Amino acid sequence: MSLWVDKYRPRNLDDLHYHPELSSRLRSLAASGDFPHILFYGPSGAGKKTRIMCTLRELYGPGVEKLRIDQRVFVTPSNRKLDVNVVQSNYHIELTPSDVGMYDRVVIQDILKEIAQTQQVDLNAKQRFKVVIINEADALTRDAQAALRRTMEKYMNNMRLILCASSTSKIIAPIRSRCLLVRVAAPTTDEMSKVLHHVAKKERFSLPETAAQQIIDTSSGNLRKALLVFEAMKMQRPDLSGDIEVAKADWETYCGKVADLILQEQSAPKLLEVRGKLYELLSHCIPPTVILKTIAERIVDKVDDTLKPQIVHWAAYYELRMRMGSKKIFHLEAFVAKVMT
Amino acid sequence: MPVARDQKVGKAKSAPSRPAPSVGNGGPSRKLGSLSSFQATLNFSILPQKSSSASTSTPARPSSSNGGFTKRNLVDDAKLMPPPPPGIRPKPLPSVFKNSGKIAIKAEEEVVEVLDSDEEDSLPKNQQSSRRVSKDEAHGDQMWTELYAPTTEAELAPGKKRIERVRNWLHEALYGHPQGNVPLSGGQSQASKEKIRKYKRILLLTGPAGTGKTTTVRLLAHEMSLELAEWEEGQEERSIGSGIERESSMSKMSSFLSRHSYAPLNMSSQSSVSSSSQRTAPERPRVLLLTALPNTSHLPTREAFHAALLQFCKTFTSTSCPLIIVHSDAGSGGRAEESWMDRDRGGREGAVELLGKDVRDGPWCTEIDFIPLAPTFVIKALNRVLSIAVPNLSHRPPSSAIQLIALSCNGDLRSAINSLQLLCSDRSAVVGKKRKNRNDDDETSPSVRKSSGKGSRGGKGSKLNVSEDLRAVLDAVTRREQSLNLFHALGKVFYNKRLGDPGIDDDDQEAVKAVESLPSDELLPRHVRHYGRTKSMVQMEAFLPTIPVDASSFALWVHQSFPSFCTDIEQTSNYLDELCFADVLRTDDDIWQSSPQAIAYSLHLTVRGALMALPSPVPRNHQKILKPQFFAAFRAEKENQALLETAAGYLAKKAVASSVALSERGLRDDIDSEVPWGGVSSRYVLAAELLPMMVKLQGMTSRPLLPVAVRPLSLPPFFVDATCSEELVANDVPEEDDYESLAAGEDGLGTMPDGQGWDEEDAVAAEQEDMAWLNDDDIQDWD
Repeated sequence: MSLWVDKYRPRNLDDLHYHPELSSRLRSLAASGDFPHILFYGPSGAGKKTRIMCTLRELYGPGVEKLRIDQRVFVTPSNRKLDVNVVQSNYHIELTPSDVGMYDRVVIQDILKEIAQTQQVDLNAKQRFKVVIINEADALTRDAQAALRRTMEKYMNNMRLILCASSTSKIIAPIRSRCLLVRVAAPTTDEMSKVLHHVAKKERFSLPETAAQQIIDTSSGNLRKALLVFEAMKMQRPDLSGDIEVAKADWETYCGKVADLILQEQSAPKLLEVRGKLYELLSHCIPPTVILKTIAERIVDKVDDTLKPQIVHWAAYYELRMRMGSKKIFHLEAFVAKVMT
Repeated sequence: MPVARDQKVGKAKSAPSRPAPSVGNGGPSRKLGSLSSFQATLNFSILPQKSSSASTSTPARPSSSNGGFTKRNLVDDAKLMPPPPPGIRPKPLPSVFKNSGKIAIKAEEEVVEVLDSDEEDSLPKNQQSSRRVSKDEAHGDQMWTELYAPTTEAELAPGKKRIERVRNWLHEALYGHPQGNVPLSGGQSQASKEKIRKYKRILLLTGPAGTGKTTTVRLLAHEMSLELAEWEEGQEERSIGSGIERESSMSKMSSFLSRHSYAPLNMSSQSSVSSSSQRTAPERPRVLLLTALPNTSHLPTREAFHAALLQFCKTFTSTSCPLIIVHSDAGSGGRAEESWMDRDRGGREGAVELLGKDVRDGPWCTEIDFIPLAPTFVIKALNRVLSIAVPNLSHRPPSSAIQLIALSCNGDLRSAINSLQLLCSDRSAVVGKKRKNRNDDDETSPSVRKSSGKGSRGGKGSKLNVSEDLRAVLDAVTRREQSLNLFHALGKVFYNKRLGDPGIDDDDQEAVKAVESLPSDELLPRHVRHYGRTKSMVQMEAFLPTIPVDASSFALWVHQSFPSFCTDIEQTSNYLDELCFADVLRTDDDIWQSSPQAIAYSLHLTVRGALMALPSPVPRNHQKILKPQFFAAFRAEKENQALLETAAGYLAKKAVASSVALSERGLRDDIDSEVPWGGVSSRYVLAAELLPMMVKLQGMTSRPLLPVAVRPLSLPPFFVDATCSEELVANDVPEEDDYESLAAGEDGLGTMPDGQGWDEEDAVAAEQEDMAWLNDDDIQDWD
């Protein structure tokens, strides 16, 4: 059993439901034989990875879907050993170097060198180069990006890079200029509803329009989320009719309740209670910035219009602080207290 | 003046020899001794000696005879002092006699005994001195903690339950059955015993320093008449002191482990027999004790250590002996010793870090956690030590002092006893200066030594200005490194005392004076007038260095309890703002930001911000100072992150397996054939989007989507609610069943060999976890 997200993930450029012009461009790129380095960027759940895989399939054929997983060990100059999980096929290799934090440079250098120095062995391969997919490229450290820049030029012969990032702003200019930038925008409402209906059809039931609208509203352009919510709702209430509660992730509900708690009563004991909840959220690896954002949105929904700008202001203020600081709880709580005053 | 001094010395030198002419060549040495005794420092070396004698003698020594000794010794002193020539008396003496005047008078009544001790004195000098040297070596730097270590189980300070657990473990590890539970006779029980022993390989005792971990082990070993083979790091290696010798000591350690995991050859036949007839076995079973651990923060060393432990666990023979590792984790108490960085790196540098995951999670290891001792236990233990060390009631420090020590030691009995020892020796230093000239006598016989110990404390009999003395001494003794107790420090911040507050008690008078002496502030301009505060009683420059934890943990402590001291939310908000600032200043990423300056700034900001924001005076309604939740949350986060990794790995494997399946199916695009699984996704997506939904779906449909192990990742219900938790449990059971069916059934084609192997692995791992608490039946099944 797998999730609908995975089950109905398009595997071919032709199957993609939206951004047709992008698909055709990717197709012609793949056909041209002069494939550049590409940097895919766009919001989460817009379909970057899906497009990358489709492009690879276009490049190499179905063989690229035959994956294997490897655990590589890298050794830092300080003799620390890093374990990195690497997914690869005969034609490409995919890794998330930012998982290892500040040591990502080592991983980048080693992997790229290794790939670049081995020629394509498979004579039937359609392309002479291999592709390296780097996820979360915007989370790479400066060092790693600099290392990347050098290798990008050096090993152009037998290697292409596909970077995947949510925004280009954290990627250094030299890399940006060496890549073809491909923006994968979030799907519009219509496009999303098209996808939802497509999935519903494949699952052999019909999706009421109201439910579709609700799903699209909650997922705010994130198709992955939309599909997950869709599936959860379907499981909850098979007919999907009438006034149905949109399935949300637990932590979102939780954040909502925290926000209600904040609005309920403004006092120090209440703050302590909220703190407990925040700790709970943090300890479940929900990113603090996301917590802050969710709570702030919820509060903005509920408060008076005159207060809204202030709340947004403080949310932004404390999110910046949070990114600079090290103890997230201080900033989250400071925001809560600020809202309470 | 120098000339006059010389004269005095000359007199003093010649003086002592006069009353004891029989001393002969022993004379000069004693003269010197009598001189040097004027320096209080020398008293320290003596103290342990006499106390060692106390330890060798039974505690139940009648106190009356002790009193006699005391007097005699004083007489000793008096006798060694010449009848002072008028005008040139050695200076310190009068004061000594003044202090202990009462006793000195009594002493003169017992001149007879003086002769006895004198005879002892008359041993040849070299003989005496040689003896003394050996004594010094034996007892010279013994601490009370060692001398008066508990001798019976009842005297042990840790809780009975823990001791019992340790004892049971030892028993099981050695004999294969819990104590008291008489083993079944017959071959079957023999086998099962072997199995129990096989899984009782390592006992890890953790807990803060000074809670009696090692003491418990030693005592139990003694009681059960075990042989403790202790690993000690060689002294000589330390002195070589470069990077390489670390490794070598590590290799020594591992060879120690492997060497000792087998009993010596000649024993082996016996010991296998003896496991059935333990009590009568002539040789003593052996237990390895590891207290000095290698430097586990050094990665290669740690890995080698882990490997050695694992090896140790795996090589089990019927004759191999169990290992006890004693590890004091300073951090778990939230105390000062552990820095922020350490916490960051390993969470609690806990059992996993120490032993390695394989060993820790394997079935071989048992962990028993000792907690800091409650003050009542410490008081009990201190009184016990005191009753042995200082048999005379009147010479003991007052019970208030003991209580103070007990409270200030943070549950660390060792430090408490050390404080006590220091306290007692300090007293003797004040009054017992003259005692020094009997150094030689001290070693001659236990009884005399004993008495000299008396003499040292003799001065205490005079209860002159005890309170002041005591206070000064306790100040020096109990405030380790001049640091305030954490709670004291926090209280200083939270109570935010300001000049002119009502209810300032006498203790604060000094501080009040100091603050009052400061120049008065100018009135603030109007636009910042609301920042005006009366002068704070917290003297920042003096206060900051005394904070016992590092800046960032102090901030956490303050943060945790702060809101309850505020009267309204605005104050809280203001303070949290300051904390934010302090936190932004002090981040680990940047070099400047983790520099001492930045830390100092942020500490200032933390404290001053708190003082600024708090109301004045702070309402006191029994607010409690709580331990920061941060540490627990942080640990949970680390654990969950590890789980996230597991989940990611699981999903990736699924993806790989399905892709393999897909390609093997002839690469058709039919949707209804094998469906691909999601590939590698980023941690954030996983945590925030995929997992919660998957958990939800799994709950609703009882479809297995995730491995069982990651279940803790799902968020608990918002308000703890019994029905919800029950629901979780209910969903649990079908989940596991489905795993089996999934692995076996759906993938009947054999296209998912990877996944299958993995699921089973999981099951085995789960089973192994159960093993840690098993009884022997389980083991048999498993094997």
